[in-house]
Amino acid sequence: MKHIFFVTLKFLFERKRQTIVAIVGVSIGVGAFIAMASLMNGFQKYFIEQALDVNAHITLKIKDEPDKGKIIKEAYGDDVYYHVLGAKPKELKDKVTDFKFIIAKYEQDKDIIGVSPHLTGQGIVKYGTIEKSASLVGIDPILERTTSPIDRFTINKKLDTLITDRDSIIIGKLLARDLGIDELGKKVILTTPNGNTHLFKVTDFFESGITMLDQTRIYMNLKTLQTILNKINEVNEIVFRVKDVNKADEIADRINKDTGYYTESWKKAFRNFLQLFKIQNYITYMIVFAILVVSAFGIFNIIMMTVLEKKRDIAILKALGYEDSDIVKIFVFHGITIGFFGSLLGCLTGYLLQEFLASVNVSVEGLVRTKGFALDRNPVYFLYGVLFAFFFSFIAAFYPSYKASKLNPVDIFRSSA
Amino acid sequence: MNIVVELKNINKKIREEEILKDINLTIQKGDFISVIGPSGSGKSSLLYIIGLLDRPNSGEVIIEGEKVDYDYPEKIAHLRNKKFGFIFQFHYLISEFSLIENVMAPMLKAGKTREEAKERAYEILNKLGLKGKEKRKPFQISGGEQQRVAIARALANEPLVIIADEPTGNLDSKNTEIVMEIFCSLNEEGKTIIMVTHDIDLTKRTKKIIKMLDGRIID
Repeated sequence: MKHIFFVTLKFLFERKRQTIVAIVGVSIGVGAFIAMASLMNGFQKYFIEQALDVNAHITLKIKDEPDKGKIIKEAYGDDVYYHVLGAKPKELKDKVTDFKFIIAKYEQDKDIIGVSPHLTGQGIVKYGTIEKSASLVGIDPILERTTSPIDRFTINKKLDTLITDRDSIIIGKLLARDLGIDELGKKVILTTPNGNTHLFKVTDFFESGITMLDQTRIYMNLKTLQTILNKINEVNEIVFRVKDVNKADEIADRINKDTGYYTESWKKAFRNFLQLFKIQNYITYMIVFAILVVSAFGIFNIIMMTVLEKKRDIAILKALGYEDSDIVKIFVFHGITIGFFGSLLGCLTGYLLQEFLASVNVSVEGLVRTKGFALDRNPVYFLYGVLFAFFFSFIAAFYPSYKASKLNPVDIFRSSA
Repeated sequence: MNIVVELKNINKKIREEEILKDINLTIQKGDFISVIGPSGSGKSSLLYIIGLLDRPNSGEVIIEGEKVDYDYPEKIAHLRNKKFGFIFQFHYLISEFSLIENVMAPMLKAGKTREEAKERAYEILNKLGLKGKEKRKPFQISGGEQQRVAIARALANEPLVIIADEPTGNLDSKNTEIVMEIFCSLNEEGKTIIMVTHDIDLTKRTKKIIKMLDGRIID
């Protein structure tokens, strides 16, 4: 192999400009791949981590959907096409009746870390002249801590005020901002759908980083919400925290079978986002694939050009006893060497891009809110980048190398003479 | 066994044109043969067949008593590397390589280590009067010197036969003389040389002359 290395390295180093252009092309592809993968996956992982922490891994709730065609189906059977007009929505059952039993049962389950009851409802919160709709969540603060690291999201760590002061609430940071509240202790009026109004004191702010929650959510004591919604001793959700989040679907199915209640795992609850992420990943990887293909074409062009320019030298090498396979190896090695140095430089470029993105101090506010970009700096992206670069370099170099090996030296000498 | 290369009933066609017709030739060890003839008479084609760069349409090529089997291209390449040294009208040195690297290229293919190849390359270049210029690139030396480097490259693996296709065709009289001196002294050392030339004067310095016309050896 030493004759292969000898010839290839000479071709590479004596044609510096072309080699550098090809290496830079590959490095841009690899660097872009690493930066984009860590940015996209970082954002997605951050969203999922935050959503998993702030939301239940599994939610047990009532799913009593009105069946408008119930009577028609009873009369004509299931195989009937119907369309009911003018039906009024009936009042749905919205309570988990045996919640204490369910909580006691699943607190002992080996796959479950914590179980906590929730009562949820809607309300209008008013501060001064500003009114905003809010999503009310009544919690038992002690049990809530077993199902969510909620203290991490309360800015002043005053979750216990919900126990000591039943008229206290914790409101989302963005909701507080929209209402014009920027300090604790402010009084707000809460109006519930049944027309009850109640005065509450804001004792803490809640900031999960997920815009949708921070803009609408209000936490209060479970008993207080039961009182103002006239649902004494009722809950409409039980939330579970499981040991292995990847088993959430399986455990949710088991709870559904055991209790008969509708259960929803986090994967089901966030399926729209997960689907969105999948699409986003396809787009990202298609762009990166396109960049890598362009750089592969760069390698292809350079090796093809080299082969065309070096026809006479290839003929000479063959006259000196170099075999067809040697010629293939020389030019494939040429491409792979470009791929190797391109991927090394690409890793450095990717690392520097990551450093740059990590240092950008901007407030990102969209689906999630972060200070700066949420990056996933997994080394595996570097490995993938290097492997892609090698693969594309090999593919790009192979065809011109094969063409080079098939050149007939006699034809070249005759045409040169 | 003095016969190093033997051609039997060689015919070669390019497309429909017959380039070589029923060629029979024996090259013995220590021969210095010149091949002459008008353009298109098949001189270069004959050299390509002898040097295993091209394959005949029919006939046999026998190298040191062994018939060449063209179905094994690796073996053919190996024979080319070990048994033949090529010199062309244009030096055909690889421009990216220094002079010494050009000479080392066939030796590395033959399996010599880098050090061995370098040592021998220095030795040959020195013998051919190129001492001190080993690290220069081909464009940094004169045409005559370039052809001497090409001779050094042809000698690198101590070939059985040196095949020279109009080696002086592109040189002035002074350099032609130098090259012919080298060929004569190599032949005196026992090297077998077959050379195509248009220069009748040069044929006088060779041991045998082959005249070609329309693809046939006429004399």
